[in-house]
Amino acid sequence: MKNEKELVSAFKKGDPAALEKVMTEFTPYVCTVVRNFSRGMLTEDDIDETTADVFIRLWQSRQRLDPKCGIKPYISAVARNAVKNRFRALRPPAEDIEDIEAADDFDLEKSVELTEALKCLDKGLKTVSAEEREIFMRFYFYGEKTSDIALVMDIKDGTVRSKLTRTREKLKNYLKERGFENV
Amino acid sequence: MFDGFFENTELLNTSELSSDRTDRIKAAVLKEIKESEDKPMKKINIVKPFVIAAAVAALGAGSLVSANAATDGELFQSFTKMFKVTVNGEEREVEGECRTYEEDGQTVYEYEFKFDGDDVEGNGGSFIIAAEGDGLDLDEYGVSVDTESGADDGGEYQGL
Repeated sequence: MKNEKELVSAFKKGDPAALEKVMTEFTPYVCTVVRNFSRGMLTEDDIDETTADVFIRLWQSRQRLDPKCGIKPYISAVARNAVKNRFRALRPPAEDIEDIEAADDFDLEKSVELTEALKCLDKGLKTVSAEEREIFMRFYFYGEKTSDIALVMDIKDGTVRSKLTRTREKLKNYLKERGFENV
Repeated sequence: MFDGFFENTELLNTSELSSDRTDRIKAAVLKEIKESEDKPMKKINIVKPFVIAAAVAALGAGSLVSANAATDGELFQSFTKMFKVTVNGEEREVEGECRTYEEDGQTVYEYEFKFDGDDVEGNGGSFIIAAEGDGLDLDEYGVSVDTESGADDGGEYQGL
């Protein structure tokens, strides 16, 4: 996807026009990911503010981006943390953020070498089945609920959860063996 | 990467947004970025260049006054604080020692941060930033040091 690479490259260099274009192109995407991760706990105004937070965070840490990786994997990593921060600010009951907290134990954004962690994860995902890969990506990158994933993929919610747990452990081990201890 | 997963937008039911809403979000982002970039810049001297970009903001405080043996007992003020430090985009709390002393009629402010080797790709140790005049008000501005931009005698810092 050459255009996205060029766009990310310009964004990384601090080009204001690239920032505008990234926002124009990805605001609906970011909003959707933020809404998914928020599990219905955020108002539309909160979603807008969190979406803005995601772009600000991306801009401030733009040196971490690798144009070859595109921007969406970074958006997902940043969006999940932005939602968690928003939750903490709003102090919702703990049980309402169960899924987000479940996702908390696989936090790529914590990694100093985010790009390298994403590349390693990409390789790790090639070692699991296509179904496991899709479940994992939908849950951790798109913020979809397991019940929604089950519906879309026509499998049981329990199956989604068990596959997710197994895949998460496999990938954590895969990353750990390659030096990504804190993921 | 990711087997083209992110290129397959059909996997994610991306909702349409009104242009007004998109414009509001964009305006909020641009305003915030402009405000952060408009904060005053100061020149600093990076005493010991460090290979990372760091952003620092102070948390809490405690202080003491002590004599500095290295400067013939001249009084200098030092205090240790926990600082919120962003290292390559990752936020963490790091203990930093702040020192002020007189040198050639100027007040010099030094901030020293220590990192473990595991923290920053084998580049553990400490780095010190220093400034003359009014010093660095980390509480107000935070600081961003970028030694990769080539300044070992006068890097820049900016507010967060």
